[in-house]
This record gives sequence, structure tokens and C-alpha cells, in this order.
Amino acid sequence: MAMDDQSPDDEQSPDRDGRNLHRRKRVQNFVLLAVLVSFVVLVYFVSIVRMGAD
Amino acid sequence: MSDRSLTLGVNEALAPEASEARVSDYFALLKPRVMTLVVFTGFAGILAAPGPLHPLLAAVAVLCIAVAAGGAGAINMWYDRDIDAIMRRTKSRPIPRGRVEAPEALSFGVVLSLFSVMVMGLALNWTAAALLALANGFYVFVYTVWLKRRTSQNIVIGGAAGAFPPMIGWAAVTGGLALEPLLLFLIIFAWTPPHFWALALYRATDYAKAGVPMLPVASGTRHTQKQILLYTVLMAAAAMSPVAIGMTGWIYGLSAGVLNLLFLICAWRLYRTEESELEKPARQTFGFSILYLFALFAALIVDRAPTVGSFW
Repeated sequence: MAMDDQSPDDEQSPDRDGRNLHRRKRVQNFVLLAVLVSFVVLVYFVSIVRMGAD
Repeated sequence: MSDRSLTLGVNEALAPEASEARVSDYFALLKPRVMTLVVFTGFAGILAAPGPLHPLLAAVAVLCIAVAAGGAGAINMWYDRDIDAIMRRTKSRPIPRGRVEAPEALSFGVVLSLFSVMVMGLALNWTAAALLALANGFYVFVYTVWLKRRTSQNIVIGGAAGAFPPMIGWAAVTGGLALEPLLLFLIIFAWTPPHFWALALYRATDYAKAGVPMLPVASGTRHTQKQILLYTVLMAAAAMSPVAIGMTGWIYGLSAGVLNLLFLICAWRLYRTEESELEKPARQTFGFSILYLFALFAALIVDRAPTVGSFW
């Protein structure tokens, strides 16, 4: 059968690709989360400074 | 169908899946090296301006300038993806490499640009925000879309976009404009042609292949050498203007004098060089032009530091 001819590497590569993709997406999501949290913190402190100035 | 759409069609068909994109690819879309100069000159504009500004708000202003410049860079990479794939200098950018899909780069650039203008307006003032929007609009629509592929004067007029940051920084502090930030604008405006034409001299083949009418491609190397010298003289005069109006002291005056002399020597050597031996002096002039702008604005910051210190 064709499947018997496949090397172990060939069988694992879709899994490995999937894991790599999953890892990249997770890193991107964490970076996005960090950016959003930083923005919220920044807006908070900018508001404090602006209110103080007024 | 135009040549541009044909090339785009081929490039997009060859582009792999966008799932290849890493965080570093999005960072590369921001043109971080260009951003460094923009941020530095914007920061100098903030420090040169009279009046108090809370350090946090100064940091936000610098951040907005950086993010807006990055956004404009991403939109530029989206629009120029066809010629970027042809040129040696740019073919490893995220879109031609297929790491980021073109529409994704466009959305990324637009979101960053709008976001930075909005934050600048809310946190600082709407004059600075309007100037930031104008700078981005100028870079994207006037330089990238309109001039870059049409005229050899592309970077002379389009270079104005890169000259905005000191004015934006000044406006972030004062809420308005004055003669001083206009002079800082003029310095960068006059600096841009010798900077880019020096690069274009040793990348002329690349630009010609991509069909970008940079001055060496459109008018030849001899004419470019003359123009570099001419604009360097104009730039040197512009660099001395802050001293002439009493905006800066001896630290800036002395630094500007020395830097001008060195830049003029570079431009003169380049002017005197035969076409066959242009690469080395052109590379040196390009390299020195970057150092020149950093050093000049660093001298401005140091010169203005005692005045600024009393406000913070």
C-alpha cells in the first residue's frame, strides 16, 4: 500500500507543521495581548496626568 | 492590464500561506531603521520646544510618531510589493518573501496609522495629531503612490514626509508651530536628496530594473553627482540657520560647522569621482549622511538640554 511506503519523517511532518503553526499563533496572540494590556495601562496613566494638568 | 498589475498577479500567486508570518515579520514591516531616524528627530523637536511637557506625555508623543512612521512604512511595503520583489535591496522584505499577505500588511499599516493619530490627538493635542496625519498621508499618497514611479524629483518633494517629525514634536509640546521647527523641517528636507541619491548611485541598476526613475536612472550619474553637491550646500546653509536666529548656542553651532564641512568633503569627493569608481564614495556619502543627521540632532538636544531641564 502507498501508506506503507511513507517514511516516518513524512508521517510526522504534518504534525510538526501543525505544532509550529500552533506555536507561532500562540506567540502572536501573547504579543497582541501584551500590546493591548500596555495600551490600557498607558491610557490609564495618560488620563491621570491629563486630569492632574487640568 | 498594466505592468504593475501583471507583476502583482505573479507575485501574489507565488506567495506562500500567510501562516508563515512571525512577530518579527510584522516588526520588519515597520521599517525599523527608518523609524529610528524619525523617532530621534521627533524627540529632538520635543526637546527643542519651549514649555513644559510631562515625561509620560513626551514618551507617548514619541511612541505615536514611531508607530505612525511604522504604519506608513507598512502601507509603503504593501503598495511597492511588486518592485520590492525585483530589487535586491528589498526582495527579502516580508511581503515579497511571502511571510505576510499583502492585504494583511495594508490593514496593519492603516490600523497603526489611524491609532497613532488618534492617540496623539487625545493624549497631546490635535495640532500635533493633524501634522502626524499629514506626514503619513504625504508619505503614502504623495510620495509612494504619486511621485515615486513618475518623476526623478520623487524624493525631493516626497522627502518632506520624513522632515515632519521635529515639527510634530514641537507641536506636541506647544500646540502650535513657529519659525524654529520650520527650520528643523528645512534641514531634513534639504538633507534627504543627497542621502537618497548617494544610495541610488550605487543601486542604480536595481532601480532601473524595477522601473523607478531615481535621478541616476533618469538623468545619469554625472547630473546626480552635481545635484548631490548642490543640495549638500543648501543643506549646510539650512543647518546653520538655527544658529543665525539664536535658537541654538555654540555647542550646536560648532557641531553643525564640523559636520557640514565633513559632508561637503564627501559630496565634493563624490562629485570628482569617475563614473566607473563611484560605488565606494557613494556608499561613504550615504553612510555619512545618516551619521550626520543623528549627530546634528544630538548636538541640538545637548545644546537645548539646560533649557529643557528646568521645565521637567
